[in-house]
Amino acid sequence: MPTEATRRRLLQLWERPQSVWGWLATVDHKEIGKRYLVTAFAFLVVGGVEAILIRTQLARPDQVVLSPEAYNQIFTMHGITMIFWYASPILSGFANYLIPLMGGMRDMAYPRLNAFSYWTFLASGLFVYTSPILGQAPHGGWFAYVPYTNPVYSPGLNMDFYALALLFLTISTTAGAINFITTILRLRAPGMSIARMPLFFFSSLTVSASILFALPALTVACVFLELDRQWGTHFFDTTHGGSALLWQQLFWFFGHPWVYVIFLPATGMVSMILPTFARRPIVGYAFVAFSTVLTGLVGFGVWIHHMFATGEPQMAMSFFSAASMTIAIFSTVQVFAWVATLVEGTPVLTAAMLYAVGFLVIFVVGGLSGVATAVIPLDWQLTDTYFVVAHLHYVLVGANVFPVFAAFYYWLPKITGRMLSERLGRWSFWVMFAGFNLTFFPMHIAGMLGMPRRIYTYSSASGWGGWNLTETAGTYLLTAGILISLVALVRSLRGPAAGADPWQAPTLEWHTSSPPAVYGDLVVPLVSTGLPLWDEFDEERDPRGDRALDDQRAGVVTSVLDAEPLGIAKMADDTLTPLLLAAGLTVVFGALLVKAMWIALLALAFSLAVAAAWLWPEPERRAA
Amino acid sequence: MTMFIATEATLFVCLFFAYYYLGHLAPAWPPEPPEWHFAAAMLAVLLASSAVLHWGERRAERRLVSQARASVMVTVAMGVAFLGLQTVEYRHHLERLRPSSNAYGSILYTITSVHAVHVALGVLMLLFVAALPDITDAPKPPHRPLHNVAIIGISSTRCGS
Repeated sequence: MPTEATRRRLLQLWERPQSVWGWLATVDHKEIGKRYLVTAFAFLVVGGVEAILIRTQLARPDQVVLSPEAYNQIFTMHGITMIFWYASPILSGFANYLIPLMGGMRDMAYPRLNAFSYWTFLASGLFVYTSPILGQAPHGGWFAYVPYTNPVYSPGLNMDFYALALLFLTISTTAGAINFITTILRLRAPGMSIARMPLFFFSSLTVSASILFALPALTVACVFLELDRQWGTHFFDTTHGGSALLWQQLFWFFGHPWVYVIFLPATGMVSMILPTFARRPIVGYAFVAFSTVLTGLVGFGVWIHHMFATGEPQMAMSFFSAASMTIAIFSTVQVFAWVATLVEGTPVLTAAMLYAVGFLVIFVVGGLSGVATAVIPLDWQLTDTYFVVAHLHYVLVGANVFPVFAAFYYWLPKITGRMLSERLGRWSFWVMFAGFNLTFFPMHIAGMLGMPRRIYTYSSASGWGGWNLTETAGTYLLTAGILISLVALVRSLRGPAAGADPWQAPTLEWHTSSPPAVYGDLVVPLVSTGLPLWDEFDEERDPRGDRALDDQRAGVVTSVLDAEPLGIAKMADDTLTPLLLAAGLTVVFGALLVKAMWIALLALAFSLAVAAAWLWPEPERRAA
Repeated sequence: MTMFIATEATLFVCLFFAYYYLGHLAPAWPPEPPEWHFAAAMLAVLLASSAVLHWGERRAERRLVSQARASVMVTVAMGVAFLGLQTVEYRHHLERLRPSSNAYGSILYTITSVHAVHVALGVLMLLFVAALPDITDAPKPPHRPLHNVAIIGISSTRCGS
């Protein structure tokens, strides 16, 4: 039975010092999760400002609000900010915060690595954002096709910032992936078998595995790009035996799985939110789980659909076209499961639920335009037009941004302990929904009328002016919707207290207080179903207090499939080493940018020394 | 640790993909027949070093600590020997072909350099393990430094050969 003594010991073990050192050295997953959320949201706002600038420039034909070079830099920064520094990290933020709480664990498997992932994410984002200050932001699009981005056509530092910032970010992302896989597979509460774990775990696991196998292709691509640009190599230089298409092959082998990394965890969150507000378990849990994993797997077999117009052999392209249509099946199965849950349940339309339903509508439209472009002859008509811009925003905003807002309205009360205004949430949703569709639906039409992508202006003779003006108006409306949510967030800080389980939800994170204690839950629960709070679970019948683990910072290691307890995992204490290592790597990448190789080497040596200090055995914190 | 190896292995898979992709565009690939002497010697050294380290890990499991430590130092020496051989080979080769000569030079030197960097990092990891006060698994699993550095070394050598 948990006692006051247990609580005191746990606090003593897990509390972090309320000092500057404590703030910098914390490895608490809740703290790191919050930082990810705040930082990624900040990047969303910055990316949104870039979007507003883009749409303002494109509102009327023949405008020069932005020069061509400025436009190129802004639309490139919009793309990389959203895709790299917002979309995936925001999901890491939710995953970081929620996975230990949902899984009955006290922290992630590798707490210091967790802190390191955050610091390197922040550092790489700041690194890439020093480029606009110098007027040399990346300008080759988020996809950075050669030969435009080679040293002949892009002689400045712009694309060096791009390559190095991405190399830096991949370190963060890979570390995070390793952490999530180990945590989800080995630290789930006893009894939380594979078939009982939250669907969010399935999606986090899938994308973490995707990250491990997709990111190296980007690493290789960026290394080659940087070598070609600064060190005289010829990987992409057709005049010396290289290949411009090599860039595209490597980039899209990474790039396609990446878009699943961006949306699968978000849809995993929807799979948690919908059942709560439909007041019933999700329909087809196994179907959703399998579809998630299959999407991740088959996602590695479709990348050529980004290259249908590059002259690849027809046989090869047909295979990828078929795979691209097949992969839609898995998403469709998930959509059917979600819709069935709504139909079979008794939906309660809270703000979070509205965003979840809005996601369903928008995502289906995006999926349809995607399946359309999987058909090669149609893609040849529509590639590089605004039709594709419409498609990608419908799936990315639909399947990432709307679920993220749903997640904020759903879980922010757990994180802050305060409820958000439902009224403001509903207003925010409808304004965002209207604004989004007004912005992006006309792009389908503009694309079919021939408007190309990636242009800074267009002539008045084109006839596209009306559509573009509508789209820009939609952008301002979408922005207003987001601002309403920001107001809701600020006002919620003095809002009504949330209590542990304001939504009467089924999963374990709602068993903790709001906000949770620093040690998570008082006892490690023993789980017997997939919906612990709606069914039964044994969190207190622990006569010897074994499962409280209140004598050391530790978690219970359980078996992969059945979550049978196997042992204890010691969990690391607060330390500055992750921050110091991130700082060392920042200097390495900064030095590489300006080719100060001795400084790079020194910084690397420093980083290795910090890594050695990190790994050196040290005494553990024990409870009195 | 296995996941880290998997992602690094994928890195090399992508490098080899680039090698063969560039190759399929060329009339002849490699453009000139490579010399095998250095490569064979380096491969032998690396394979042998794997065997030595594996032996050392078995000794550590049986708590024969000084023998385990000795094997780590021998492996370090062999890793350094590998890098020494590579340096000599590079000096030799760079006179005829540079990374900036053509795509073949670029990919060849990049793959071999990335590999050398990994060998160097492996040597540093081995030195770290050698400096640890306790290299057996006994008192504090799940930290298994000797095992970790061994599986990196051994599995990468298996793939590399």
